[in-house]
Amino acid sequence: MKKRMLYPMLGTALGAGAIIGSMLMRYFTTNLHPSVSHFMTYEVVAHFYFYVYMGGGTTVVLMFSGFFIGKLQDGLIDKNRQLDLANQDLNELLHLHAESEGKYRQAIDQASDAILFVEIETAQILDANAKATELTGYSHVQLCQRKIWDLYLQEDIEKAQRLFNRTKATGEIGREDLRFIHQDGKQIDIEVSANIISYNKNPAGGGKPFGWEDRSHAPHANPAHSAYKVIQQICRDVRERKFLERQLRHADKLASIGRFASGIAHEVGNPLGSISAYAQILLMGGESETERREYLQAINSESKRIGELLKHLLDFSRPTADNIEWVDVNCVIDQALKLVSAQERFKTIQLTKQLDTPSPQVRIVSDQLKQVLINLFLNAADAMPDGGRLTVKSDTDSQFVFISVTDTGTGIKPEDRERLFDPFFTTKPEGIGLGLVISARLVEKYGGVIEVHSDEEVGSTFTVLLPLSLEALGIDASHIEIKPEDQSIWSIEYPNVRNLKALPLSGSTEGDYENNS
Amino acid sequence: MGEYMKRRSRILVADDQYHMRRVLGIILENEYDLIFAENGREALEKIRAQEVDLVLTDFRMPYINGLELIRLIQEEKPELSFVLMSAYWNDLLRAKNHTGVVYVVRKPFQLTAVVRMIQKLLKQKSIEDY
Repeated sequence: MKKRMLYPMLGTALGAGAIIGSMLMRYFTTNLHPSVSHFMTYEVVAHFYFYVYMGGGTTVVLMFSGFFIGKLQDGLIDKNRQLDLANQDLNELLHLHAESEGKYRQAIDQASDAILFVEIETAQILDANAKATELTGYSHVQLCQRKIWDLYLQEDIEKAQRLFNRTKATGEIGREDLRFIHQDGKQIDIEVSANIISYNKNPAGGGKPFGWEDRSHAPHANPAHSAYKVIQQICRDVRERKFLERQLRHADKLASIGRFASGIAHEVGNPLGSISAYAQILLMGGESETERREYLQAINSESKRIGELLKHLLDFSRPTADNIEWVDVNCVIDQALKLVSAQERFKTIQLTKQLDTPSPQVRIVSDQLKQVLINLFLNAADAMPDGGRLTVKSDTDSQFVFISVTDTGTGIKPEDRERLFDPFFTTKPEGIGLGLVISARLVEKYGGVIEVHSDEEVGSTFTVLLPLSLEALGIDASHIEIKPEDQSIWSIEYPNVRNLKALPLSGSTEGDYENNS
Repeated sequence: MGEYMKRRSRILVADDQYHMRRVLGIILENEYDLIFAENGREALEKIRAQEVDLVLTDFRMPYINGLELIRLIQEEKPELSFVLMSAYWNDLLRAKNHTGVVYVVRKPFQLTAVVRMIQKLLKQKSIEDY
């Protein structure tokens, strides 16, 4: 009996001792510096044994174990402390973030340009600054419910999409002149520059400028994308610049109309002046038969001059009704050269041909190309009154046919260069000043251009560039291909031309040039 | 008849258009000595080379235009009279604004009006000469 009582008592004492011991050790270790406690590994286990004596000599042992794993508990405390610190850090970070968000907000809101952040896949507006709300008339909330296209003028959307896609594809900064349509309906001229901003997307969905989630009312990008890409569009208000440009263009147009009017007044007024004067002289009477004939002939030739001018003006303003066909460029050059070279003034000019083989082919009305070339040849001859060399070249590349006409003449004065293609601008005493204008117009109609290089005292080169195929350049050829029977365009654009066409003024024939020589 | 033999007045006609020179020649040659110039430069040279009483010039001419010609000559010969011709009214307004002593004629014109204008100007001049 005595011995049976000994074990439970011993067990209980040991257990109690262990508990007290472990509590003491915990007391000491918790007050130690964490770096020290870290090295202390201890494990105290308390066991409580209860022996229950049942009847019949059966003994049931009940055991309760209480244990502390000091290290574990310390670890928990440590973690708790770390969490506290982390929480502090986070609060600080949030504060900083809020502060930087405030700064960011302030910075973009104070920007003089509208700034829009646009989701790259959906074109959804994610954020916009104050200037953007001013220029579009939409509130921030309204803006963030829209796609970027909703802001542009209908006609500009395609252009805007091209810019967007280009930026998206190349990642390069793109610029474009576009127009916003303000909520109140007015157009706002803007210059847009677009670039991509990439943010690394972390699992928590952060990485974007702080506050986009709360602020934007837009559905967000597909979370599958690892990097969060945004297109930043900076839109500069260029209304004032555009206004000035428009004014300038208008003034330019007026000036050009003025020049045109003065040119016509001059070109018609002069021969009309002679006609009228001769008629007045004839009315006075008293002239001899020879004089009478002379005056009448003068009236006749001066009237023809006015007719000639009208014919040129008609060429200048009417679209062609001729059929476009594949034309052998070298062949047309030869024909044009043959026509002019018979002229007296070409006697002192040495002709050189450097023609491409096989001969380039272009789709054009061959008479019109001939007209352009004759014009350039005559100009070249005029630039070389004392003789010289005229070089004609033809060449091609993948896009264009080049026909260049080079003279070794006087060159074009710098001050005359910009007026070269002005109607009625001429440096020749008997010139009308329409040759180059009409030539340029004809070439432009086929998607081409006339380029000029000139050095004073060395000479000039005029190069006609004609596209090999309009379709390849993306030019709509439909307005050019006018069949003779389909002349509706005439009555739309030039209501008076149809009547004038009945006059025998149209078409430059070889005979015209031969008569000149 | 014993009276003072006045020499015929000399007029320089500058115009780049042959027919304009011709018609002015026809109506003026009986009363005046005429000198012709085909452009502004030639006109300037001829006016400097010999005595001229009146200059009848077109506005638009190669090298030197009518207005420039008048400006250049007015400095050298302030006593000279000028008649400026142009088919474009704005050219003439510009000339009028530039200098008050220029008489202008718009093409096409009445020959008799031009003749009267020239007569009047030369008469004034001959009075001043006495």
